[in-house]
Amino acid sequence: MALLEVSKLEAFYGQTQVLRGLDFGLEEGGITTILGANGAGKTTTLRALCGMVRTRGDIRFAGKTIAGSATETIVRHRIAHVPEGRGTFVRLSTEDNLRLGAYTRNDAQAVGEDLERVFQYFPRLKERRHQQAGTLSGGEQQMLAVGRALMMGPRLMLLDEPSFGLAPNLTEELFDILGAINKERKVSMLVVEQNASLALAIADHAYLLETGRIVISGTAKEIEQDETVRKAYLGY
Amino acid sequence: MEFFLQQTFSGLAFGGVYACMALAVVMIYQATDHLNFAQGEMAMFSTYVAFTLLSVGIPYWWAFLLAMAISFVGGLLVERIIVRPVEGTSVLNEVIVFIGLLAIFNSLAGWIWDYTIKPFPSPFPKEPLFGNKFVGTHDLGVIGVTLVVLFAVFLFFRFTPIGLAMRAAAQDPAGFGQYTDIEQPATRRAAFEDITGNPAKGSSDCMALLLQRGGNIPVRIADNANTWVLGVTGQVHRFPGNAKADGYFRAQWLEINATAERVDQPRMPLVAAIVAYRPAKQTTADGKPGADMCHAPRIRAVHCPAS
Repeated sequence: MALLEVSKLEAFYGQTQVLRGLDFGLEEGGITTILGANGAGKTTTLRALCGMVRTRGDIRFAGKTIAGSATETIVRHRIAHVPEGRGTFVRLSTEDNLRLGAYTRNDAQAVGEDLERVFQYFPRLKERRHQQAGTLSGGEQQMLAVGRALMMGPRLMLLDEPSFGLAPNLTEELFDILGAINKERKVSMLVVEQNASLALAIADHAYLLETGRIVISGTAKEIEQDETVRKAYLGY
Repeated sequence: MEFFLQQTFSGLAFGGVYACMALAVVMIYQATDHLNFAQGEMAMFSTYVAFTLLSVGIPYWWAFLLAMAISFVGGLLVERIIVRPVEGTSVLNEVIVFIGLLAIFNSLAGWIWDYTIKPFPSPFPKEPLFGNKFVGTHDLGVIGVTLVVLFAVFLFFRFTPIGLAMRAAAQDPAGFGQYTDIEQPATRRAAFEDITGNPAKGSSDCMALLLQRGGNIPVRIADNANTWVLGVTGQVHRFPGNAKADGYFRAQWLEINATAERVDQPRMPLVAAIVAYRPAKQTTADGKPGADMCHAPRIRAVHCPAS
């Protein structure tokens, strides 16, 4: 059974319609990517899944409808959003930011173990655990955002442009870690990305979004070989 | 020398009372973005509740705890019934509601208990500690309670999940909901109810008034609280424009703040204007548009550098 099933999803900012009937799904334990240019509606798709914009249509997570639910209710389904711009609480310490991710959990011991696990994935964060998060570099803040989402013990992670503003080597490192998290902890991921080659390398399914509509869908391999995608997004 | 030391200790004790009040105001402001001008009146009202409980023969500390519990419920009702409906509407609506609350609590207290000063017993012994001539036991108690309350508030914010969540919510109310399962207004509500309900912080309010120097139920703190609230939350931190305008504004503000007791009416327009305009948020220290200018949707024609 698909973990996430989205059908006829529409989203609106005020009167403006941004998503126009999206249908897509995500398998448990899989990585799906949504590709698209600026303004295609990628971020809005993630915001719609989190209940942060007005929507129409159906969103089912693990068989339950979450469309129309408030963000704080959706969070309880262990859907973790790594937002565009990272959403760092700049005046809190790195560790406090991570602990905030575990707010919904009551198992203090497991939270402590997960904190150590996040530090294993991102040793830089351990070095800076008491540092004010606003003083971290862009890459470190992105790691912090991923780490904070992991602290929730998520079933699904929604990642919004994780490569944004990062140096190429850091981006590759981050995607390697995301791949490792997916394999080791069986966390399903929906990755929204402009860097198509990187996203396709770790994803098993992909969708191409243009002006609020899905225009191409298939396995990552199929999409990679699609001529339109190659020319427009992969540059060869 | 003796006089100097006496004045210093009594000043510290008096400052402690203000520190507790400031703590209450700042916590509410940080967690909810509301400037509660009725803070002083609400605290005064709580003290009158304790006074009534004492006068019907309830023991001191039971009266104290009961007064806190009653105030907690009162805070909850005020938030639900009066504050929540105007939340997120115009700033002036919120100002009017809080100034209205100030007038209501003030008049209600006068109506029920009348406007004369009432004696309120000190929880501390009358005899000076170790027979010293410099500081009364009451003053020492006030200083001690202030320090304990400040430490308790520190522990609350530093080591409890709800304290951490409140710090995060104060920083980024919009983003906060994405990481926790608390509905954002719940944090706001918690903060509001904590005015008198939370032993760590709420007691600061109640204590501030129970421990008011001289052992009388105070009128002065409540009287000055509305302009004073602006000061402790940094609203008059800096006035935009040239230094002369800034100096003039501050002088006026201090003058009005220092004016003798019943001057609410002439003071209110200035208070309302400051809250609506928020000088401290309009401009940063280096003259760039401040936080309000960048985020308030109602002020559009300002260039805000990408953060």
